[in-house]
Amino acid sequence: MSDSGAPVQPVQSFRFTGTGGEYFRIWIVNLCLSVVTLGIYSAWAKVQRLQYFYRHTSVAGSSFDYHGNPVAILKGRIIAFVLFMAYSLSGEVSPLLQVATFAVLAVVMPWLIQRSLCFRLHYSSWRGLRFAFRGTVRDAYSAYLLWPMLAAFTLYLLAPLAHQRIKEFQINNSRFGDADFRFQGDTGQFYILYLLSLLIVVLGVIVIVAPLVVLVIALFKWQALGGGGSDRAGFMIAMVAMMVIWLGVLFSIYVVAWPFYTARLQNMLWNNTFLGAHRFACDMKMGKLLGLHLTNILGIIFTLGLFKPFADIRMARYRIESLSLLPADDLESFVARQEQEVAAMGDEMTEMFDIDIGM
Amino acid sequence: MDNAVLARYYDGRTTRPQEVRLAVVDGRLSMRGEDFERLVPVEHLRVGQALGSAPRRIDFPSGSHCEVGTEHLAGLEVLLAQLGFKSSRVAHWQSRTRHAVAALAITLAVLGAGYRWGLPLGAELAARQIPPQAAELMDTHSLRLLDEVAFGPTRLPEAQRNRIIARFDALATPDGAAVPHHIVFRDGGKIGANALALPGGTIVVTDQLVKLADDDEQVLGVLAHELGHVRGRHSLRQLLQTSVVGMVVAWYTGDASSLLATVPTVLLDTKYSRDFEREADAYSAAMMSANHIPPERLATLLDKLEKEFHPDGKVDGGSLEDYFSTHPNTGERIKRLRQGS
Repeated sequence: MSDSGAPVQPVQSFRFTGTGGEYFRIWIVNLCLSVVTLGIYSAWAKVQRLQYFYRHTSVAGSSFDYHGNPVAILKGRIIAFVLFMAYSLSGEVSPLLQVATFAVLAVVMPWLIQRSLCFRLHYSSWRGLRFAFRGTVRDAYSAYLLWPMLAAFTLYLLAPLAHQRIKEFQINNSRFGDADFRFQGDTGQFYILYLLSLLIVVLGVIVIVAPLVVLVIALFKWQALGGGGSDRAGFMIAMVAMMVIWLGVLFSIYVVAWPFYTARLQNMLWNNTFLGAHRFACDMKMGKLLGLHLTNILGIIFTLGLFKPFADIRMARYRIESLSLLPADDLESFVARQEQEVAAMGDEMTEMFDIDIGM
Repeated sequence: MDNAVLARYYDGRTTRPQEVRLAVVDGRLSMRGEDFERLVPVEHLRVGQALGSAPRRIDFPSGSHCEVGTEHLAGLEVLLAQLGFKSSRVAHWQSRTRHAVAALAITLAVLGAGYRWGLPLGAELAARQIPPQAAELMDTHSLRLLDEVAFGPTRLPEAQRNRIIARFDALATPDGAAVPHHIVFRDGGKIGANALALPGGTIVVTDQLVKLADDDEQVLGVLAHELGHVRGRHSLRQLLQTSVVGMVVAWYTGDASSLLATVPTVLLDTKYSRDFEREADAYSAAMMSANHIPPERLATLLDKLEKEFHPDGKVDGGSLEDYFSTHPNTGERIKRLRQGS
């Protein structure tokens, strides 16, 4: 990995120093202010949240920083809110209108995503140098509209390919200072990931649901022989059985396949990402991720949501500390590049419509 | 100086860090590095709010900045105070647990008040702004859907339908204001005896309801209740209120689980629905009284409907199910209507 004669650089692990208790205090005060100001303050709260997480994340002794403009974020949020309400209410006026609204949103979405990537990266920095995103709107449409549509039209057989194209678009167009990010993951790895995940779902369903189906059939047989009560009881059994089977399916997807998929995907993405001559490594473990996620969900349920800030911190800590940088030099030779100001609107709208653009 | 604050300086052009010591000299910020020293006047410094134990930065006009790590934050506070920087109030609130508890209490109080009074008020104001053409479009769409899914064409004799409509249109409204409406009849099919009001003023009455009634006056009581829904724009208000509730709950539960979100949303929505039903009952009672018809008529019909749908149940006081129900407990409704007459 390094030239002969050049000193080998030590691996730099990413560190996260944020704590749940401290973040909870920040979070609850910001929530209170947001509610009291009917949501206006939420833009400032978002900047603080990102700053807290960025500044507590460090590599090679230096932390990251976020310097987005709250006013720009507020404008974006207002527009996103209006669009969301329009979409919700259009369904009541006529289904045609709702389909039309959806079509407009779908067409506009790649542009929004491209803007949000520009915004998020431009306002992120490390050691004083900014990140940047140089993907064109045309490439955004190819990645976020063309490939997903192709995937849908081929019954999702092309979904792993579309996913690879999207990641390529996101990563290859990202820069730090004068250095470019590069993604070397090939489509084959995505296909293996999807196939294995699907296999786990199928196995999970069989293992969990099969005994349930057997049990339900036994119950029905028992009832038909006159062992049970009226028709109503039979109906109740059927309803409960359907619900349990459905929960079983959800459970096997959510609990078993999701941590496998997520851990493997993250590892594959980072292990194949370069920044100039430097590279990254990620070693998330499926079991650890599952345990973390389940305890987070239980915590949130039993505290009616108050555990959420703690859950966010725990998840961030695990994700960040699974990551390391394999530097090719002493990391002091990055140089700044001139970039112009970027409008904020994109970031907020994609958040409103729940699109995950992060890695 | 042993109370000097250590920091790292970055010139903004490369990633080379330089260790510096910060101090206050002559009311200005002194930054001393290995091979340089700068004195920066206060007005050239940009300092953000403290954020817990996260590293802080001081920005300089040239695009350079320095970062102070967690260990030296206390020293930095002292230094900034000496330079005349006020610490932010929000940061102060965020640093004390008792403020956090207060914030939690205030948040819950405001959300509760918003749900109970704020959102209904906002929805009422917004519903007034929606043009009648839009509401009528909704009616056409909804009625077509109902005709496809549940209803069939009416089988009541035309004379009877016209008589009911004529008698109803002859009634005065409680406040004298005209309420545009359009009564249509349908065979209720599986739905049976029922009546509903659509946002644009269309009132649908099923044949089964008319047949269940003992006389016209009971049907008029139901029509007056539905007119109450039209007058109060309840359909639109309900729609707006449930949309906002759904949005807030979804935003809060976020990525935790969409399954989690459904139960609280249902509970919150049905309370709004029951409030609207109570309003419509009161409107019906007032309208009947204004036309010298006893409001009791509607109560009698509700009683008959209840016996129709729950033949072995008792029309009684409340239960836990009521919180999931879109209508107030029938016993309660009947009692209120009878007290009013």
